[in-house]
Amino acid sequence: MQIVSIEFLFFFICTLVIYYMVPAYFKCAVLLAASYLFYGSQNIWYLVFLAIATLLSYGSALWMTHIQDNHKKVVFVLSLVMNLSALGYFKYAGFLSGGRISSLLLPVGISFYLFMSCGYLADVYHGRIIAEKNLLKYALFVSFFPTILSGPIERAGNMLPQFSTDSFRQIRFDTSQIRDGFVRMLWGYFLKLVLADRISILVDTVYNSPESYGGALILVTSVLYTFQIYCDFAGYSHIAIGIAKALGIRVMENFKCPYLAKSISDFWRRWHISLSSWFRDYVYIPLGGNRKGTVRKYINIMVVFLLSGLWHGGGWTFILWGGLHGIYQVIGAVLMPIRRKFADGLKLDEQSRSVRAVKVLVTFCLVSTAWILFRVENLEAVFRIGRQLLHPKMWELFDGTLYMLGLDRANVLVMLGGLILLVIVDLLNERGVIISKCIARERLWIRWPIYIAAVLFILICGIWGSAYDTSSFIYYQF
Amino acid sequence: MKKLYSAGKIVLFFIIIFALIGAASNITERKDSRKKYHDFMELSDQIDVLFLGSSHVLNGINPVQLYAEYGITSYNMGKPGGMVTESYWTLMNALDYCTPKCVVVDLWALDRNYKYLDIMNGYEPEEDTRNSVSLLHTNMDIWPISKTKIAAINDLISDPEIRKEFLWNFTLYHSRWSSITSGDFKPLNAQDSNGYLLGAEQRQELYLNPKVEQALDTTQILSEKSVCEEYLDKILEVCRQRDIEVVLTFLPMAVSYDQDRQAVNRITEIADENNLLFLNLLPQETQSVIDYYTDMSDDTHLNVNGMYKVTSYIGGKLREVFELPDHREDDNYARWKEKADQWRTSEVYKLANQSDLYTELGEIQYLGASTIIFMRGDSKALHDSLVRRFIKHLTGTEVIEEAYSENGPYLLIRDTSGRMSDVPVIYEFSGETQVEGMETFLGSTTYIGVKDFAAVYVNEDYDNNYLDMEEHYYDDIQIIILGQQGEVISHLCFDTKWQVKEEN
Repeated sequence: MQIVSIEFLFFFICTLVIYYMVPAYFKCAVLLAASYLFYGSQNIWYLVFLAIATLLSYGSALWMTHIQDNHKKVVFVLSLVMNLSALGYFKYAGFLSGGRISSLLLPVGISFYLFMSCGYLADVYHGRIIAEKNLLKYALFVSFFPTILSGPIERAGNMLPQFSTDSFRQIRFDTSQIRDGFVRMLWGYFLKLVLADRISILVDTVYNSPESYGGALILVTSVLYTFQIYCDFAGYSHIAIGIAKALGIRVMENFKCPYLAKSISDFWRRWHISLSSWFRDYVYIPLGGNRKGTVRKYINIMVVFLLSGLWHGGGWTFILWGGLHGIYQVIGAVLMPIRRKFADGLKLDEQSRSVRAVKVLVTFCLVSTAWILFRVENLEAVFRIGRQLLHPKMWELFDGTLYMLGLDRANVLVMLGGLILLVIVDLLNERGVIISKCIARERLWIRWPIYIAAVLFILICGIWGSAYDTSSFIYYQF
Repeated sequence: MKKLYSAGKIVLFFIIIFALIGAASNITERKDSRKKYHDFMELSDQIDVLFLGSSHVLNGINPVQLYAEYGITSYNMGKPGGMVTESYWTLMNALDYCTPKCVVVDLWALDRNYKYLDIMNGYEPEEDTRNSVSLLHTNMDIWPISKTKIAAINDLISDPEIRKEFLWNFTLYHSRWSSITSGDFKPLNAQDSNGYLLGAEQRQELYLNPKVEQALDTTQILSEKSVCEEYLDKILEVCRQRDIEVVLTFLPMAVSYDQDRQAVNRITEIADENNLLFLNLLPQETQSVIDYYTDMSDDTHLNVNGMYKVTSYIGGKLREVFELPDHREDDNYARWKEKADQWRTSEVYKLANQSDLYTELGEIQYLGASTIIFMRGDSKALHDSLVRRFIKHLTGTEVIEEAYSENGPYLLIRDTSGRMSDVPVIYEFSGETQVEGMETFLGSTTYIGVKDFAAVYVNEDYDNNYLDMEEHYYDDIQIIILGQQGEVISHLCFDTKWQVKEEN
């Protein structure tokens, strides 16, 4: 069962109805059953693996609470090794064996829930939280169906308290809460079905044979890919957060207008927040963070970003992508004094709109360039694209070639219109204006037509069903 | 109370959503299936014969002609690529709406040994399987969800994801949003559908250079019982249970292969075993009910001329063997008469407004129109073997060959008293001739034909030359279609590429 499917919507509505009908005491069990059903529908063996992984981390955490420091460390390290070995085995066997092992069945969402387990073990080891005794609650934390496939990578400290009977007692059937969740889901589906999957048709066509197109077209599709990956991943996060919201459960935000970031470090505070904060809390800070000198700080940054690249996939392109972001950050930090002097010399006001706009633009260009590494199949493709960039063939942007990449004129217009809407919504969000809240405050006869039109627009203009092969969420593979 | 109000609002919201999705689904739906079966749904309780099969049936049998000629009510359920497996499920769905007296099953591709259209044999290109699934929609979209439809989809499609697009085709058709037209918003009525053809489709074009390659007769049969043959057994069983007569056919193809001959032999055996009528229209070239050179639109599909002949032949057999009722005088079947009249009117319109010589000659033949055809001396038309072939079909004589050897002129008056009839009186003249006092339905007719001049006068009205040599002196060929009062319905002349030049 895909999260973008009619079956999932039926499944979710059924779950919602049952969830609000049963007493608080059973809500946890209902959500766990729904989560296992959802995950099991992907593949029954994935579910078996999930159950084993859950039991191991649950048992390890409980064990740590009953033993002394040295033994505790051994158990902690062992449990981490087991989790990371499983991740390495499934995800990196092909890469590490140089392609000799290639057909391992990668359980979907493994990177997400194993990281959640690792975070939980670290929190228990460092005493930030108490090991959970209730197996159902812990199993639900690991397998919570809105987040299991593509995050956000939640923290036990946020989720486990919400799964207690007392917390469930606070959750009432509240139509405005369900509506807000529904609207959030709608926005997610819009980003995924109307934008990401539409853009992917165009991007795939060009990136599958870059030598057939000029540099200008490749550049445009690269920028479009920058939006595709945002819409794809943020779309999933919005859906997950919306589902959780309808259930009365708070899930952390994962994206905050990332392409309005004014620097690369700012970008990482806005992009995939749950992962970057995970690396910050469980890798960067334990490595010493910025407490052990400048050089060590730069090394730590590079380690974190190389690992982040590796987390996204077993391949040199991912590692290079992570490394490039690390280099961006290091160079940014090294050049900071020079940039400041330069700005002072020119008497530039850092807070002025024009300076901020230039910063946003430069950051966007750097991020877009890095995404090329993320999109290509292998390093050779990077060189091929590089060669093509030397031959811009500008006319391809105007001679109708754009309409021969899998999208006709009407579809290109929908794509462009959707992107403009996305930019406007993000700009308003940045200023603290939340459109969904503005609509929710309106009267019913204004509100409903907007919601209904949105549903119909997504169903009619979304790329789903049999007409096109809906590409899976890009982040499923991580 | 507040909870009830909230729940009510949610329910109302979803009712509105579902209603609008339903409307959107109707608008975006591809209309092929509704167009094909629109009349079936309207007339299902009056249908005596169902024709099942592939595009050979779709383009080969014209139910409205069958009604006009024999008074037999029938419907053409043929679809492109339709194998016996699909015919079985088409029949099962149709039987939910009607109980015909007779089912005619065409057995093209009886040797096909698979049933899943999304897999086929397993080695076809993806484009073929996608096309095969897409074509199934023509025969499936029309049926509302029912046990039969679900069983059909489960039986013909293996992929559960693809099955969904048949159960709720909005999953497939919503992406048509960018290509919908104003027609998609209009309710489907008879004018929007295929109108009067009752499920059939006519191919006007003539296959100009047919390669007629018939496999040799053989005594061999298919080496194994195919999946399609198993489904033929199912069709026979269903019809037996419901007292429906079954006729097996193999419609003509200009090109046939060994497996077609073997299939025909196997069908002959099946027909003998089950005491069924088998109409094999795939004999050797010389024995065919059609002319492969004038009646095909490609290697395997009949054009409108061939469709006329095959329909006439099959109708005659059905009448002869099963004594199916003639509904032409039955007032309860007035809508069938309307369809037949619409078809006639449309065909006559086409006859009067045709742009291509071959098609015009073919239409004159199958519509049985009253006509005057004149080819001047040295006419290039006389040197075109296909034109001569059409003329010979019209006359049944070899006079046109004499005209060819004499290099014209040539005149044909095909007299059906202005009615559409296939039993004409033929007046034909080759070479330089003058004839007076011919009694045609126009009146006493005079023909003068010399190398540089020709005239057809009626009732000694020498001021009115039907051939109007002042205007048409240089035209190689003139075709005049006549109405019941002798009035000129159309006067067509053709250029040397046999495209119409002008119309008076």
